[in-house]
Order: sequence, then structure tokens, then C-alpha cells
Amino acid sequence: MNDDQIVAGLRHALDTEVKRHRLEDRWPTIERRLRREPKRRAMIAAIAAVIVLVAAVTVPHWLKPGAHHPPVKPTPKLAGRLVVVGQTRLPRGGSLNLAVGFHAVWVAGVGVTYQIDDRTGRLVRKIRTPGTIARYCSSDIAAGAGAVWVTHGCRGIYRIDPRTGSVVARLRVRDVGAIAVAGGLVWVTDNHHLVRIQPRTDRIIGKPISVGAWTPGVLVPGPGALWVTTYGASDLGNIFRVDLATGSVRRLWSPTASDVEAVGAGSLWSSQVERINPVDGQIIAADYVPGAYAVTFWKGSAWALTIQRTLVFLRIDPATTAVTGKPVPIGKTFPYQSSPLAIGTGPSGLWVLDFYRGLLFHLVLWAR
Amino acid sequence: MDRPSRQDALAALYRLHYAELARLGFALTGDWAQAEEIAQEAFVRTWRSWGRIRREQSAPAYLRATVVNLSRTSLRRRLREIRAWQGLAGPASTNYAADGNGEPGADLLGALQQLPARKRACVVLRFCLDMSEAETAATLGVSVGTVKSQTAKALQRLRELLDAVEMVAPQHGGSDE
Repeated sequence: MNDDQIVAGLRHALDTEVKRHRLEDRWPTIERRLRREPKRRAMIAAIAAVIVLVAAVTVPHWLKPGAHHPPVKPTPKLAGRLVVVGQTRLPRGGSLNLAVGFHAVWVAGVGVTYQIDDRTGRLVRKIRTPGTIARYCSSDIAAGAGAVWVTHGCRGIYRIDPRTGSVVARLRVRDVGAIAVAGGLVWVTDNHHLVRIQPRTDRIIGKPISVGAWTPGVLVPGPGALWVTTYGASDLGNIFRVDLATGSVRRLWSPTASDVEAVGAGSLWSSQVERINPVDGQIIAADYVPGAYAVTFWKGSAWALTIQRTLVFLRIDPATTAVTGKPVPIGKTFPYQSSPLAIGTGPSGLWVLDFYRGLLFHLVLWAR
Repeated sequence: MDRPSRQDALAALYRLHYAELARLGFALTGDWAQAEEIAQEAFVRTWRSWGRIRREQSAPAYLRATVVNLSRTSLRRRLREIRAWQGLAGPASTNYAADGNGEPGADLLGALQQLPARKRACVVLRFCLDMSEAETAATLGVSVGTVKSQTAKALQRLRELLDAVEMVAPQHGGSDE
């Protein structure tokens, strides 16, 4: 069959079909539809007007910076660049946590608490605190409310007078763990609860506060609230906000955030450098920072301590969570990826404690 | 001279072109009911777009282009429906040769339905509506070269399909005897 035959056949077949099928007059149907057209147009215009109205009300709200996320000021310019200005040698493997306050850095060691001058970096005192950093029971340390507070061996708390360096009180708390000073009170974990201590009387006030299903692991003070991360499997994906005034607990569902380690720029910061909305617990911004170990907020920026082959401080822009400026190397650490490190900040600068090497690094902003 | 109202002009167009458009729709879809619906829809859409049609002389071309586009859309929809119902992975199409009444024209129209939409449109516009290559190109919104190549490929494919039908038909006849 050639093309002409096909074309002729097609025409014939189509003509046959047309003859066989009787076309009815559809103009009345079309006219009916045309009569409905103005109504249809009016309906479309009304829907469009509603959409525009809704958009006009809601879009400016969403476009307004900080309308749905905490406001972030532009990243402030630093007075200089971060440099390591000194390091203090402490017993290797014998110092775990630090606190900055009262013109000193306070380090919890094995059975002893170290006081280091925050200007010179010199070890000023060794204060006997038996039971600190005992096996199976870690110690934590906090400075504030007129004293330095050190938890010891799961049994209680030492209260140290920062002026004399002497232990002035021993408080009995049954199963003590993490400690923080916030809202004029000392907050300490007692087994699965949080308890509040009035520093004026050294007595526990109020009822123990139940936070999640497991022992609270990290306490981070923030404006009006204490932020708590627990490491219980059933608490995974939750952040707890404890109101400083009332002690009420609010659970924020945050399935992707790992923990809360710092508060700043109206946000919470996890150790994996995620910026978290304190209202709903959702991650606002996150930038992958390789080897991120810990984070702190200081001088208007987040600072991430990273461990790869060396210890490196990275400055994080709060608005974008992107690394800004040059990395600040601190030195090698051992073993890689698993060194217990602690960070503290204060007016004197930024302090990093390396447990394995027994070194306390002092970093400041160095003007050019 | 007063320009006729939009509805009067459309009524005139209907009297002149409805049968042709329904025929075009049938050639493209292989279904009279669908073809008539498409032709009606084309008139409604032309009415809506009347302000954009600058000259009344170009209204028939607009109507034809609308029928071609609506046929393509309705075929896609029908294909989706058939796949959804039958769970078929491959393309489905109306098969006149299988469903037909044994007339040679049914084979031809069945083969036409097995062509891809654009090739089918080229064949129908060129040979069933006797449009020139340029008119076909304008209606389909493609170049004249595309119309030429698509038409040639469509005719070749039709030949292949009809040859296959001719080879199968005697076997069917033999088994009946």
C-alpha cells in the first residue's frame, strides 16, 4: 500500500464514519454554557480576590524578618581575631569540667578543684574537694550566685567561697549530676529530677521537678529559662524548657536537633551547630560543620569547637549558621574524635579544657 | 457597518465549522462523543478568548488549534484512566482493527489511532482537512520542516501497521473456514 492509497483510504474511511454518524445540533448546549460564563467569571474573580486578600495579610508577616523565627542581629564585627594567648598545664586525665567567674577559671579535678587566674593563666589554688571526678560519678562545676559550686561523687555539692578558696558548705543531694546557676538559684540534677537550691540558705526549695524520663544530662541557662537535654532513649527528640520563675516544664519536640549546648541570638544552639527556634524547637538553620564537638555563644557569634586532626575553633554566623572568618587552630588532641573537652566563656576570654592532655587553653580577641 | 456581537459571530462560526471540527476531533480521538464535547468546548473557549482574536478570519484557525490541543489533552487523560483501570504499564490505544466491523476503513482508522498525537495531527490536518503544510504548522505551533518530517514518518508507520494487519487477517479468515 503506497502513501496515496493510504491517504485516499483514510479520507474515505473518515467520510464513511461521518456519514454514518448523525451530528446533532449542539448550539443550544453551547449557548447555555455561554450564558453561565459571566457567573463563572465572577466566581473566578471572587476567588482571586480572596487569594490576593489572604496573601496581602499573610505574606508581609512571613517576609518580615523575625516574624516566625527569632530575630537575629547582623553578625557583629569582632574587635580582633581570636588567638591562643596561653595554656595552663593541669594533671593529665584529671580535670573534666570548668566554670568561669569571679576573675578566675575553676576546674573540677580528681579530688581537687583548681582555681586559675583568668588574666595570667597561673594556677592560684588547689582546693581539696574529695569525691570529685570519682569513678562512675562525674562532677560538674558552676560559678555564680556568690559561690563556686562543684558536684562530687554522686553524693552532694561543695560550695566554695571564691575569695578565700575554701569550702564553706557541703550540701547533701542524693544522686547529683549536672549543675547550673540561673535566675539566682542553683539548679542541680538529682537522679531523674531537677532540684533548686537557694544560695542564701543552701537549702533545697520547692518540689523536685520531673524533666523527661531520664536523668537530665546538660543544663544550659538562658533568658528566663533553663534548657535541659536528657539522654534517655525515650526522651530522644525532645528539648525541655524549665521556667526559671515557676519551675514549669515545657517539652519541645525537636526530632532532628541533637541537644542544646548554648543560648544566643534569640536561639538555641546544638553541639552539631544547629540553630533551633526556642518557641517550637524546630531547626531554623544548620550548616554541616565537619567534626563539630561543642558549641558556645560568645561576643555575638556562635563558636564551634571541631576535632579532626587538630582542635579548631570556627566562628559561626548566627544568621546563616555558615562558617565565617578564618579557622583558629588550637593544637593536636588525642585520641582523635573522642577527647573530652570543655568550653567556658567570660569577660576574660574563651577557655578550652583538654582532658587527655591536661591543658587549659586561653583564647582572646587580639586587636591588629 | 456594525460589527456583529460576539455571540452572533460565534453562532455564524458554529454553522460553518462545527461539523468540520467534530470530524477533526473524531479523527484525532476516534470517539464521536468525545469529539463532539471537544468541539463544543472549543467554541466556549473561543468565546472566552474573543478579545484576543484580532480578526474574525482567524477564528476558524483558533478553533482548529483548540480542538487539536483538547484532543491531545483528552487522549492523555483517557490513557491515564485506562492505565489506572487495567494497571497497564505500556501505552494503550483504541484498536479499530480488533474492535472494528471488518471493513477496511476500520483498519485505517485503527492504525491512525496508534500514531503518536503529533504525527496523527499532522496526517489528519494535511490529508483529512486538506490543509497546506504552512497551515498545519501554524495550527500545531511547529515549523513547516517538523510538519514534513512528522507527516512522512506517520505515513511510514501507517504502512507498517497496515501491512501487519494484512498479514494477520488471512490467518483469521483461514481459521474461520
